[in-house]
Amino acid sequence: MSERAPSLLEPGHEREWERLNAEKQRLRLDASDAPVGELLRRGQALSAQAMRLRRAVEPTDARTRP
Amino acid sequence: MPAPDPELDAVADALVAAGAGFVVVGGFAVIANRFVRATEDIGVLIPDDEKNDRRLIAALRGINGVRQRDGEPLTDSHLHGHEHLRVLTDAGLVDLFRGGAPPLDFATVASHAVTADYGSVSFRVAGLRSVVGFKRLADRPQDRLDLERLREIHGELPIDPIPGLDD
Repeated sequence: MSERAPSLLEPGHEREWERLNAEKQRLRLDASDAPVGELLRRGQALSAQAMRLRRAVEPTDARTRP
Repeated sequence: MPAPDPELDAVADALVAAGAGFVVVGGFAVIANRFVRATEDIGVLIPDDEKNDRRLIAALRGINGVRQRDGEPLTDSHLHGHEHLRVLTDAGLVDLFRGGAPPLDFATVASHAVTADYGSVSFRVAGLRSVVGFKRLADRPQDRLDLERLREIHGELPIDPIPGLDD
């Protein structure tokens, strides 16, 4: 059997996670400079997308929930 | 440069069209499990499978994916043998994660996944017990908040022991 590739989804990778989280935080700060109207438009689009996903899993959700 | 906001349908369309195996994790999986909140990227769990890696890379190239850390156009070598790849695409930031040890391995997470039916495309999203496992492992402030809200919504959360964390 071939050896499994490494994964960050195991304990012991805290430093790599810190690096990735910091990188994401930098991207987030870059994006937060937008005017309020633009932030609201983006928030509305993200919320609409979230609701669409919620509705898209509803038919299977009840069957698979533990 | 800020990343475009995530477009889950565009990314899922591309991955499904390429025949890639994947499960959506991260913020979108939290949303699918009934805590509706915004998220700024698309987390994707992938199996340890070289052929699948090539499909993923081809799909992400199709939406102008570049490696986020250096802007290099994607190549197979960016993913093959690696545990993680962060990709900047026209449809937002996509984080690819290789599955871990059970219960956070690809097969287990896929077996507990729910299906999102977007009409033209269906894809898997991590189910509650996997989301709880990922959040317990990451344990950032946002993860703790997610767990608290999921507990309010679902009641007692399903907890599978994670090797190295619970022993």
